[in-house]
Amino acid sequence: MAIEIAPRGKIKLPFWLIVLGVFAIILLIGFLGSYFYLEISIKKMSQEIQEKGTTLTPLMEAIEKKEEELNPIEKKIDDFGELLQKHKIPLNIFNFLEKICLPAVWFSDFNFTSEDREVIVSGHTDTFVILEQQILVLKQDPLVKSLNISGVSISEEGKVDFTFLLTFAPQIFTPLEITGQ
Amino acid sequence: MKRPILIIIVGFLILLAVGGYFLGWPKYQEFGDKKLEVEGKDTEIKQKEEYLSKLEVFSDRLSGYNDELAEIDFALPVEPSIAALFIFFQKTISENGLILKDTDLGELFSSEIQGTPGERIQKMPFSISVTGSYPALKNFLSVVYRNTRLIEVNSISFPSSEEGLFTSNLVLEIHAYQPKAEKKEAEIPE
Repeated sequence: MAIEIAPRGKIKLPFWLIVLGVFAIILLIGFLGSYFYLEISIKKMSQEIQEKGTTLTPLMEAIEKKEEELNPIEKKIDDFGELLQKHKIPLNIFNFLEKICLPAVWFSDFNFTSEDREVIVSGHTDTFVILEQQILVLKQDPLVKSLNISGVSISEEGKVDFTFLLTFAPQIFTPLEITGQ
Repeated sequence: MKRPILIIIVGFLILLAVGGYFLGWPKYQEFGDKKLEVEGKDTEIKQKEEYLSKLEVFSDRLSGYNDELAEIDFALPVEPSIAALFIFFQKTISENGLILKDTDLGELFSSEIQGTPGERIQKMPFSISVTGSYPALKNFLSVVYRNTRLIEVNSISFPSSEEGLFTSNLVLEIHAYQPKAEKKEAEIPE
């Protein structure tokens, strides 16, 4: 009796299983492709970052050098500007007193301190009426912040002596406040 | 026969998902971080380049103000010349019809006067006494005010005089500059 090998029947896979298998292979290819793409890109970017870092170093050095050169000048200009703003014109005090002094009033002793913007000025006039008028004129001036009167007395010559303590507003030292400058 | 193939495929898909989560996702995040880092570096370089070019423009513009800068240096010298100052006052006083009666420049030579730590601008006060008329004093003060040294007049005092001539005592102030000193911050009250 002859022995016959029966041919094996072809295995037929269902269509959905083939689709699933192809899908799995595509996914694998996609995953591997993406992974290597990301890996290469990361390496490239790391290199790029390093290169940019080396570009930044001389740039930072140049900035630092320029700043070292310019900062002291800037500071000095600022300091000078501040100083210039605070620079006082003592002459304004004299011009103010000349402008405000009534014809029959004479100022004599004079003490001025710029820090307090204070002037102590002694003087004399003929009558109390003129003194009162002088006080009124001073009080009405916006540049006079405060006025204290002391030492009001009648001298041997019959004149009225007085001492004013004037405190001025800061504007007294600004160039344009007093006319005749 | 279908079942083992299905198990293999499903297992393979699960493996892919796990691999994607543990390998792919961190890689993607790293990629995103690096991208941001590159963009950050680009922006930083751009900003630095712009800043440097601004500094260069500023430097070029500043070189056109050499005279003005020299005047500032004259007003705020690191080491003011006391001799030059004295010569200036002698000349100005006599030119304005005044007589120099007395000077006290001692404090200017004292090193202690410059010892205000933290302040770049050092105040250097000194005093002089001059005799002359009122208009002469005014002229003198006008010249002192206009001088590029920025001389401050701290106080003026003079007594009454019948003859029209009087002696005025003036306390003046010049400045020295300490470029290395850092400005004091304003003290905050408690």
